[in-house]
Amino acid sequence: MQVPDWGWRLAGCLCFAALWHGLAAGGGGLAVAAPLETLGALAGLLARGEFWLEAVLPTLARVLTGFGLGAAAGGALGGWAGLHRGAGLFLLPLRWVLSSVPGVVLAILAMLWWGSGSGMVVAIVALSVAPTIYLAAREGFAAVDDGLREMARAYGLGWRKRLTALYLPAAAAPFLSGCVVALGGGMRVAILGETLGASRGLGYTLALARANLDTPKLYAVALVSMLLVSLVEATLLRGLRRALRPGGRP
Amino acid sequence: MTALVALRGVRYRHGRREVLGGVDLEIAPGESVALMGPSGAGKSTLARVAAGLLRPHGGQALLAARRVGFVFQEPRLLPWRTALENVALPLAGPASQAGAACRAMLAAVGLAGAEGLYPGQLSGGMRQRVSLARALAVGPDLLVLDEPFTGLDGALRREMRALLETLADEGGMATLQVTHHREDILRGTRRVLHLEGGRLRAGRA
Repeated sequence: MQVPDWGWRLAGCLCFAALWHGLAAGGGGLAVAAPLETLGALAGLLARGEFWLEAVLPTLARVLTGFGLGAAAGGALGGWAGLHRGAGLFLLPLRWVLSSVPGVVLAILAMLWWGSGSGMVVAIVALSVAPTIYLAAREGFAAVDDGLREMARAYGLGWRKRLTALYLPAAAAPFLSGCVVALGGGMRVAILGETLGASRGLGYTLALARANLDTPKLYAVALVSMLLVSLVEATLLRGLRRALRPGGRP
Repeated sequence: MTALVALRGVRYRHGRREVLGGVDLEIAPGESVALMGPSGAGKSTLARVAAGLLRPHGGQALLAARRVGFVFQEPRLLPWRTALENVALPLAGPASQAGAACRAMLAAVGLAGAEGLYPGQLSGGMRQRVSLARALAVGPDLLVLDEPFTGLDGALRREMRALLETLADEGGMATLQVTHHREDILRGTRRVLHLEGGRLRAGRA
């Protein structure tokens, strides 16, 4: 019998929930909150307007701003490196440093440089997003078929047309995959930064829940951050995919 | 009459190997020239120098043609653009503005009704015809054909050649055709040149 796609998804969710429930039951509820308790805490949080204004919106704004800055810088530098081998070699040390530094080190350094609050969180999101996007854009631009490049030269296409008709659509698939990975990473470091040095946001709410040993709330905040990443993926990145590949065909 | 292409003593190297060793070639407006020679002789390189795609390492290459159409061995279409959008690619402005002319060009190559199809939905022969429509859409005074029948079977080859002969006749453009096979040379070609050892010699028309 052929199992439909939704069947596999449902089975995966049920298995995950059962495993989660088993771990919570075995752990006494302090380290792992039960799924139903977590959902109850989630409903309680979402019903409070203050949670949206003081936790969800600040984090979302910081992640989107940091992601936008990191994607713009990483995309532009990656495109340059993909087209020009020397640029790739020139940027190698910077890329290596940024992709090797652990998120927590980045957060502590950012606190030293920018202090606590939104500026620091936006900076660490941008710095953690940029190398992933850089690599994706570099690979995408470098992989553009030589024959198509020559065709563009043969017909004297201007740089704007080359960019929009050739390079961006060709680099769209690796670029967008990089965006998905970078967005998840950006959310992680944003929450880390907020936990260490912010007085608003999901990370701050998480730190309070941990201090109060409120495990269901802690898990509920983690769920909210996952839902936010999915929301941005489903809206912003889907829109970007349509813009880069009008017509939507490979 | 000013030549569309004037190559004087053109030299070109691939690494250390000299591919063109002092080539002289002139193509007049409306003239059809075929370029033959063994594999690796430098025919495609010479065609690219003539079209201004490669800068020679020595000698002089003057290109007076204002619009050059280039049909490559492979169609070289953008896979994410429709047939119509690919034809409109070299034209200024969006495809919607150049739509009527491009549709007419697609119809001329026998692809009326295929405007909205993507290259992945077309056969090899249809893709090559889109590539030809794109080259013609610029209204070229010089059309460079770099073995455009490669990969096409016998019937399709003959069909493409007949199509090219008709369109080249109607357009009154000069053509520079690179080919391996004498039977592929377009009707009306006045000069057949052979490239061997980096030099050109005249052949039988």
